[in-house]
Amino acid sequence: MKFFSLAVLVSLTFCLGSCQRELIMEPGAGRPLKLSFKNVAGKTVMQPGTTYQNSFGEPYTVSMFKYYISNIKLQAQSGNWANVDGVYHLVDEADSSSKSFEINVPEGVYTRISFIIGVDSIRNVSGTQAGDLDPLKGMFWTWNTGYVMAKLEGTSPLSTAPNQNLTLHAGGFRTGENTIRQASPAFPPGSVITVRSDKVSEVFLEADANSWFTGPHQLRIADHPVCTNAGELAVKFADNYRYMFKIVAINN
Amino acid sequence: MQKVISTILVLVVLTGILAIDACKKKDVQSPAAATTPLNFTVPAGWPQPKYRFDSNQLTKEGFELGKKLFYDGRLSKDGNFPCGSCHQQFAAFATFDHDLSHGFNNTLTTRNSPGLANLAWQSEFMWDGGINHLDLQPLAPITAPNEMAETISGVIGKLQSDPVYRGMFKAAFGTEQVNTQRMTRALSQFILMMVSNNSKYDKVKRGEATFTLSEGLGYEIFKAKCAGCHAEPLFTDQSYRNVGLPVNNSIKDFGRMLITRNPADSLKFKVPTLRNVELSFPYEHDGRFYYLDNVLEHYRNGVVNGPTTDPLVRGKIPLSNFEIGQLKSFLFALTDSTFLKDKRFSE
Repeated sequence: MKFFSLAVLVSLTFCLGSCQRELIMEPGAGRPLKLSFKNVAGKTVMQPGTTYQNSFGEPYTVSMFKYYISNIKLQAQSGNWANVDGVYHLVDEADSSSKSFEINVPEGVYTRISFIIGVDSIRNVSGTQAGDLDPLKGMFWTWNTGYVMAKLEGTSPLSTAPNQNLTLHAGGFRTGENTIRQASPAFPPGSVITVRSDKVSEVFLEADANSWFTGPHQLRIADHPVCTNAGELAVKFADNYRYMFKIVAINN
Repeated sequence: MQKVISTILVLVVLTGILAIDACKKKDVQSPAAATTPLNFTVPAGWPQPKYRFDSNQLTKEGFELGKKLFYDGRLSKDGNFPCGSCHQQFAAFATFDHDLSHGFNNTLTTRNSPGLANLAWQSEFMWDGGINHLDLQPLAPITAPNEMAETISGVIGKLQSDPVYRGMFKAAFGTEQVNTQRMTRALSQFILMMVSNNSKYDKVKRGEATFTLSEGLGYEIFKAKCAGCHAEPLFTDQSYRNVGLPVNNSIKDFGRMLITRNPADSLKFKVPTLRNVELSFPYEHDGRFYYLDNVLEHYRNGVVNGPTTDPLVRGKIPLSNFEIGQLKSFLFALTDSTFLKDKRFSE
């Protein structure tokens, strides 16, 4: 009987131990770190009813601005990367609560952050997803299935589309039309992110809608007011907006 | 003493295995606690299904929910177009007697409604293969303006406000939460169970029946002249091919090219299964042929060669009048009357 209790004790310890090791790898482990997004167009903070100007001097308004942030990872001073698994967050200009969210990261000091703008290919081919990836969020193509990684909609007097619409939907994950882009915006000089137990640090990011039109490709509204399919044009917009993020401050 | 120690060792190892197993299971979508598992049987000699059942374990409760959803008009904007309106059991879950199906507000679809059977073995859906997962498939007809014309959030809202549905979601998935993932997984559970494997052909293969003379002769012709695309036992190799049908100028549907944007895929459509082909008329992606005779006549005389026409039909398929008769006999032996009347799938 004594031996039996010992056996159960040993086995239980083994059981808990093995589960705990897995828990560390799971999303939700670690300490919270807050990411806060502010959407701008050039130097102007986005606000309903505002007219912005891109670098070609083309005026435009924004009625919808949404993008996915996923596959976040942080590089520690040691050089090791901490992956934040399972986080797929939709930032929606129309929903202020979506503009900041917390991720869980092991305690430490980090010198670099990296994330995907959009949704990785695995989640594009694994059936119906939930949470921010729920197709009812309006970021999913149902006929040629796959996620819209980012959307920018509004109007421009220079648009040749009906109602002078500006309708830019960037999506596509297959080879040749891949719009999944990794962003790794630079930290303000001398800054680090400190993740610790007694305080939630906050990273303030800005996303500049103007970057959609310039960068590797010059995409004037007058030439390209509409992009609603995967393909060459969507790839070009993704090449451009890959650089839309800037870290403006880190509050440790 | 030694016996006790070895017992301890066995216990430790067993518990360890259990622990590891328990941890692993977290990746897997487990059904609600009090559900009744449904068995999915792979017919003897068939390949392994493509559907990943570990992410959506079949239960009686999930199946019943899927069935209710399949036949519920509320999935459409005006309540008139459930899935079952274009996928009728007596037509092998295609639309009986219709080249194109009817949608919301006096509209027509642009393609012939395909029958639903054996979809567990399929990994791409629609005539053009644009949908890469069975769970995602219902979202296309639900949102198409010329089909069910709803929005996904509209459907979810209607289901959430119905206490019967909330109860069924709880029974199937453990809580009353209604979301797109659960709705489409339940629909998949219903559709996955639609296995058609009880035609005369299947019975012959199992040694339970024998072909008539003309069926047997037809089978030999089939194997020589049709099986290159309509491969057994599913009677499709699931490839996309241009079978020499010129573009329909009123629809201008270029098929697979719309998905891949590759001109090499112009006018290619998925090879449809021939199971229950007797009931799934009219034929082809746009329903342009009403009778099987029209289809066979196309292959022996009507093939139009274009840049993407399939090499297997490019030179047409020689078929005598006698062969056509025998081939049709065999094709009718693919009718699965058990499946067509199976009460599990009836409204």
